[in-house]
Amino acid sequence: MKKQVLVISGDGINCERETARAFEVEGAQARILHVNEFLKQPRVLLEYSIFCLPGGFSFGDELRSGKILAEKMRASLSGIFEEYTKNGGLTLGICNGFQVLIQLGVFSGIHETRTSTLATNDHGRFWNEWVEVEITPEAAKSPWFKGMSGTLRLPARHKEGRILPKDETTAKTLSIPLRYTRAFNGAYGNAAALTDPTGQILGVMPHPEAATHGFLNPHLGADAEANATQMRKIFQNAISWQKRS
Amino acid sequence: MKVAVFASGTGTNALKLFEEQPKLSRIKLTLLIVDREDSPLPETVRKQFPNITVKVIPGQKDKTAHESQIVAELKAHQIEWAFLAGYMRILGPTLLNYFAGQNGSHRIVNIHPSLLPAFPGKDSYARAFEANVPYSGVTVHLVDSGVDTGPIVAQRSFARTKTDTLDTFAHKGKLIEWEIYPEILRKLDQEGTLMPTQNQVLIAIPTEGESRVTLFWLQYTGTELNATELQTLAPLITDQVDQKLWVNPTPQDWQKLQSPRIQIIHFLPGVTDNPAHSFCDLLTFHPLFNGRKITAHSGEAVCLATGAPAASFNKLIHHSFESNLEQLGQLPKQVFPVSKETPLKIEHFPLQGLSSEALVELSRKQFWALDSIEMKTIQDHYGARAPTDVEMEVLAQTWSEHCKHKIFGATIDYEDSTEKFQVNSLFKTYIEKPTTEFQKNKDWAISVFKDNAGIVRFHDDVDLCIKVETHNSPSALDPYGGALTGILGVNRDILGTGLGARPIANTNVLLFGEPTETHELPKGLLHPREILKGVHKGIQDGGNKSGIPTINGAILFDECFSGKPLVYCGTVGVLPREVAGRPSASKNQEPGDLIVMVGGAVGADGLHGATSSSLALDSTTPSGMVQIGAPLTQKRVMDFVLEARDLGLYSSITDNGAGGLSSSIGEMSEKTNGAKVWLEKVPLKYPGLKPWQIFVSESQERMTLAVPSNQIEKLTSLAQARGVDATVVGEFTASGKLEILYQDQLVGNISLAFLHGGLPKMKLKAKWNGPEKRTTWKKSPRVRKTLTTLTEALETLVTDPSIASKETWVRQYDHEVQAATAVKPFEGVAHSAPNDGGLVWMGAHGNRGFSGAAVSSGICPDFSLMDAGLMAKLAADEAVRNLIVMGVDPNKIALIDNFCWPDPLPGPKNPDAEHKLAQLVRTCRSLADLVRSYGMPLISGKDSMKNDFIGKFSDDREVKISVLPTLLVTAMGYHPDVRRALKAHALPGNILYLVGQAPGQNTEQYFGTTLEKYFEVESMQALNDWKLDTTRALYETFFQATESGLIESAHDLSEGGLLVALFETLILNQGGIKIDLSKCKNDWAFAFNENPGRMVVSVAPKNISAFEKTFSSHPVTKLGEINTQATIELVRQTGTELVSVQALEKLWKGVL
Repeated sequence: MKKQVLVISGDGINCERETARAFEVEGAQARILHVNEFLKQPRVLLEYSIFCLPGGFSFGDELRSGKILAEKMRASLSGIFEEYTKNGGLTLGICNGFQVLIQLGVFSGIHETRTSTLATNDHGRFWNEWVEVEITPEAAKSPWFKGMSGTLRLPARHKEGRILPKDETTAKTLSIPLRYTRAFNGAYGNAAALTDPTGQILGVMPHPEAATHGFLNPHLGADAEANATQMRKIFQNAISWQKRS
Repeated sequence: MKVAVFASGTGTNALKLFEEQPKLSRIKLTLLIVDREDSPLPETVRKQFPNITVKVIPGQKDKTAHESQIVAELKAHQIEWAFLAGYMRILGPTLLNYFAGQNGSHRIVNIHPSLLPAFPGKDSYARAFEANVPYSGVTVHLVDSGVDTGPIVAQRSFARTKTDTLDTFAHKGKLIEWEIYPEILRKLDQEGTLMPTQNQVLIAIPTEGESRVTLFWLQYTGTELNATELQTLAPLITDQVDQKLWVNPTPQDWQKLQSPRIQIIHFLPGVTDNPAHSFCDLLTFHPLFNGRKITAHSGEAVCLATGAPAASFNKLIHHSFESNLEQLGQLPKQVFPVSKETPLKIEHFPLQGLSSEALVELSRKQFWALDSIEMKTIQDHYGARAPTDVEMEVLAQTWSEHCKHKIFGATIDYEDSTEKFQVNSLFKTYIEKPTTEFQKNKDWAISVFKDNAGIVRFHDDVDLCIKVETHNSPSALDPYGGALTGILGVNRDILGTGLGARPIANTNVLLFGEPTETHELPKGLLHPREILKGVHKGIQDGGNKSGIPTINGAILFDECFSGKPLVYCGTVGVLPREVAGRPSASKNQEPGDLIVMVGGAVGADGLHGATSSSLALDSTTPSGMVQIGAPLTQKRVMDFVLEARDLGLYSSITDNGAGGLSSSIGEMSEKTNGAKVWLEKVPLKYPGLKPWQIFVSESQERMTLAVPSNQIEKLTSLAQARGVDATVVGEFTASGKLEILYQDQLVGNISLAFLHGGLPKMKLKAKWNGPEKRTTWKKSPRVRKTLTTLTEALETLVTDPSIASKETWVRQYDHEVQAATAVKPFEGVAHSAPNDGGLVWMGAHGNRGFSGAAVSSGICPDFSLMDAGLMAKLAADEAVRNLIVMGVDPNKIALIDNFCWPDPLPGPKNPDAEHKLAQLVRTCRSLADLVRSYGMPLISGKDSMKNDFIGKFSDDREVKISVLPTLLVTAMGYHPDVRRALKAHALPGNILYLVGQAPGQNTEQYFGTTLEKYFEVESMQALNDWKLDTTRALYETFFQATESGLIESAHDLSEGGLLVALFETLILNQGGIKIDLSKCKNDWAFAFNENPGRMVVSVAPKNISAFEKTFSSHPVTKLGEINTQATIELVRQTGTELVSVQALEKLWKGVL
């Protein structure tokens, strides 16, 4: 039996506790591991089925958000991460964790040329607001969104969250499972999340782990509980998913 | 090694160098070159130093010819190095070539009378003096082809004081010159070179579509890397999707930006540089930098359009210049903090026999802020022994107003027209006593007034603590750094509470001058809007980067805060009941435990923060107070400390805030009755700090731990694994003394009994003059309008900056990291409707179930003009009511008091000190009344007593700007179930009620301050019929009603009264209401009264009768049913007014 969720902490990551909790309330075992410990023996990753890079301000968001943590992990992860993904491991990067993943370049395979980045929002500011996102038809191929459709509401809290493809050609290759239902930060096609070609790797700018309870939802009204139930499905999906060989 | 000295004039510095010869081993000073025939120096030197060859080589038009002559002499004497000592000539290539060394520098040393890169060129002392800089200094640098642009070898600063003339100012500089130049000569003697041993490179990272280019100056050891090698860093340090890497960019590179003008902004050397730290972290991942020592310095190149104003920067921390593309090829070399080797030097201050005036003068000159009685006490204590600088600084810090709260401990004789009494300590009488009484009946206030924060037990599994601090002076000088260190500082207070609490929420209440101020500001003051911008960014970075949600706050504006803004930062923390088998609220240090400093290294930053909070701000306030926090360092420290806590690796903890190690170790040693400190072990940002500076430095991000010796190895290795510095700097003892050693020399030996108990009590007089009229520091007061329609009044009020929407600012704070914020600052699908406080679900923090911790604040300085006592009660009631409207249990509410006062101590520029002290007495007494009536204890508090600015306008007219006496009351309460939390916003179909007394109907007199600000109305000056017990009973009923589910929404009435509250209630759902005012004689008083104890609530139709029955013994007014018209319809005796909610919203959002 595999251990389940590995959640990375340290170096300015700050959402590790709620991210671990979001999995735990669905019955999973989540382990929070400091990045320095993780990099001492990165093969530990292969013992898990879900790998999670939570939100935060790793290395103070200097240079490009996520950049420094990505470079810190790159060499150690190289090879192991591909093996992990090939074996059916799932990966979730939320907000700063997404920024780390995009800097690692995993949305087009870890050693491929980078196809996109997360640039500063078009309004130039850090902004905290609950946004509405639409689950796109493309989401269907990702295990994270199995059986899900419609819209979700969850908080966005970032400054560098504008999904920006390198050029028109690479833009077409992006796999976008969630789109803002209105222009929020100038992202390409209002994209709020990306998956890799396998759908196993999910990077998402707004925070699903902060929307799994109805009472955290500032949109007054009856749909708060329904929204939370939908949100929890993302975590449930990941726990119950097993790669078909 | 043979060295020549060059001089032109009297050459005092040259003589100082020659005097040094006996101390030198390697160097022989052999030659003096003088370029002027009228110089008296050759004769003096020949007389005093016969071994020196003196050559007078008069300057001539042909520089090359002149220098060739000099070079011939240099060659003849085999000179290797030269020191310039007032040589008034720019060196040409001939001389420079002779001395050519590495990196374009030369073996020529120059001394320059300013802190380069500031004030290069001639007459630097005079120019620095005229520019009113709070600090200047002396720089020793190597010469290159520019004017004073070569690499810095050493730098030392001095403070400008109020009484300085240009002469005294320059004399301070001279004293440093005579000290530092010989030091550098000795350094050359010992080390054989002053050449930078490191390679330097400038790296620029332009991003597509952005007008700012990131810059890093990089310094590294080892073999020099060429451009091609450095270019291989591109994938590591740039985002290859939209960034480029320029190594030592050329003018051609800069031209690619297509910008007519470019402004370079970078930190002054020595300022905390967070981007540079992260950049160095990044470079260590590249094999090119294996085994190399690297330092970096960050900056920005800003593209400016023709005619556009320069980007803003703060001259206290930044160096900025505009450059053409040619000059950009050679960017400044003077960016790295300079290594300053200072030999151990302890100053002794003989106090015996000094007169009272001389003592005060000494205290003033040294920035100790000790008064004559305190100085006299120290004089008596030490007798014949002259205390050291370390001892005096420790006493000054420990006895500072900031740390000792002398005014709150003073004996005060109070009088006004009706009464006269004596108070023996405001703190003991009005703050501590009511709370101690409370603790006899209720057991949930488990730790008050003895730790860094008060601790309460509201929940089943965890305890809560809370602390609120102010950071006013630092925020006035450097708004960003001041607010950032404010928020990080109060976070550390929480981390240092009990055995260490985890911060779970931040609050901030900010008061600034008018954001649209057009009146001329006194010299040295930043515009309120600039301060707002900087403070806001500081709070944003402080909270967001630490992962602590900012859940509650307020931003208020008034012209009285133009001199000093008030920046209140608060933090709530959570403690498990036990950690590692011990009660978490306890501190258990014992003699023999090691003192461990955790976190950042110590620099000269933040010197005298504690003592300067005891000084009024003026244009000469030292900028050593300015510092920038490093949220990432602190986040790592926080994670590490909480991990070590749960492993039981330390026995006690406190933070390093004002007063640094002196304060933290001084406080912690009280319990063991002694401590020994080894100052040389303290890690420094750069060498050259004097022992006293190390001990009182307020460098940020540090905690002090007491670690049993059997745990020290585990603790330090955990720290290392987490990338955190932890250093043993001393041990706790039971000697009764604070013993401070530096390199085995005892530099301070202070009796703890004297340190903590020797401070004499102040004796003060307070006399209240009754209500006062508002005064202004401006030429004329605001012109007030005649009150006509309610619509006009309401439209004016919603654009009052204090009432106007702050959404744009507040949304830049993360208010829901940790995924527990159940009531957020804003609500609704349209998002923009404000709530009354913040509520955190404790289920996210180790507690079972759905209960919560709610936080709110109350503040209303305007009312101090009537009576500061009334102001206190109004502020406290507002804070409490903001919790009540969320559904908080009134039996579980704790209060935190934070006083910001204008100087209440008598002095030549402070004629009404007694009145201001009387206002303080009245405030404290009223607060005690409220605490007793409401049954809500004060569990923590702080005071800031010198919120005055004294300065001048450009025409030299003197001006003093003092804040209104301001009490911030923060309330924290227990919410039984966050799922049922009430919000401020009402739904159409429900019925709106005004709960609480509606005074307009009874008295028909206006009470308030906001309407009065804009319209010609006069407020009542007292609220004699306000019964605290009645209001408290209402809150009890209200809680029962919310628990029974009778209330759908609730919102408090505060600034602007009923109509403003109604508007805020209706925004979310664009509801409307019709209100009948025709029975009110003074309907505008009813509409805009700011009486306490009131709220607007909405009730579902099915609950109306139960609601009315529950509130039958309380004043409740039915206002009407909420419709969907989005209009407030006001039926008056004179006719009906219709106010559009949307129009109001537009106005309300259009201000800030």
